[in-house]
Amino acid sequence: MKEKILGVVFILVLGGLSAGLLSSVDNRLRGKIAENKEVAIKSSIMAAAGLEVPQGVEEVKNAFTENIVVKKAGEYSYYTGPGGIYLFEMKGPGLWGSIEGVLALMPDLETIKSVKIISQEETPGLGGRIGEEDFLKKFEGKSIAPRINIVAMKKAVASNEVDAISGATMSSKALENIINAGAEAFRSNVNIEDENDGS
Amino acid sequence: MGLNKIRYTKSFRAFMSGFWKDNAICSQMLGLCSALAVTNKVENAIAMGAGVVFVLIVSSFSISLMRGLIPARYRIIVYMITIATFVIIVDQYFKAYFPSISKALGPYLALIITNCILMGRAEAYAMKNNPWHSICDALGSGLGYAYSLIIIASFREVLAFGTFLNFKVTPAGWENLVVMAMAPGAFFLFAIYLWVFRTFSKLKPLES
Repeated sequence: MKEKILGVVFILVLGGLSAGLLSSVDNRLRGKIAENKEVAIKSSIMAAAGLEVPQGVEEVKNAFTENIVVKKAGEYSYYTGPGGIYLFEMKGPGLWGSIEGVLALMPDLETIKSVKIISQEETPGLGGRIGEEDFLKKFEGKSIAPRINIVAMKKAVASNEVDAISGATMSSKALENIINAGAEAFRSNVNIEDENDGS
Repeated sequence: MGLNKIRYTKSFRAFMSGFWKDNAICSQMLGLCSALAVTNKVENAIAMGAGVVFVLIVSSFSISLMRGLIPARYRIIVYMITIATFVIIVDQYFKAYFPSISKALGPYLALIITNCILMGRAEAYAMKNNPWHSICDALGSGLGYAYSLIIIASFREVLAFGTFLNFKVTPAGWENLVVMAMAPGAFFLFAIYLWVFRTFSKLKPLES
């Protein structure tokens, strides 16, 4: 009995120490992690807009304020960049974790200017390649009207088709759904705002 | 005389056993899951190896310090709490100061918690030996794990992507072997690595 109580007490003390250590680490690093996240999002938006992304935290923030306008349509927020392009963030489930990215549309709202991935947790070397420039470049100039299709086996021919990554069908499919859902959300929200502006 | 004397010290033997003869990957067959998963690129293997070495050293050290106090019946819970604490710290630290590597490794850094090498060293060594010897043992095992990952990764990255540490090393016209980036390629290369390693270290298969 005594041994049991001592064991429980020991584990409680150790757990308390561990919790204390972790919360002090969290306190110290939380601001830095949030800042990294903010810089990652802003860098991706600027890269999607075709702007050069500067080095350094402050430089990124300043360049972002100079070039990108944050717009709101009710709860929904999107961005406009140089040349009348529209940008919005998109997010959805991947194979292992959530995928977050940015989509930039030409002023016609149908042609993709570029796609960037902010964060993803797909299998490194397989699905993880959805974050690579070589793959994302394939989207440029493609049409999202009515939707983008990521097709396997190098059969992409139509203007709204992109080749999938071989060996990563699930991640490719997930990205396809995220882009289409993101475009859908953008269309429904921004049309509403245009009507409001007109009235 | 220096070298010869060092060879027979307990700390050196503790270091060498994990580093060579009792290598976690090749001899104990521990930590294979991560060895197959993150060995597609050399930079991932290096970051993973560094993470494991660090967590292994600090967790072995703290468990060895506490070994007189840990109630025998609850020792596994104690290992888990200690290891999980340090892994979360490493994960947060990478997120804060090396966001790009943290991004590349994705969930694997946090999954060091489930790496059997850490539990194995805590149970087999740190629980019974003093903190200094535990650090030597942890360093040997950790580095043994790390170099195995890096060797496998060097072959996989060159064959699968034509690069080494993201520098192009293959001639023009090189066709990437996509299978090497995938699980089957990892298994093929892992088996070859085991064969070569066990031949060189003269490890015998277990008698059945």
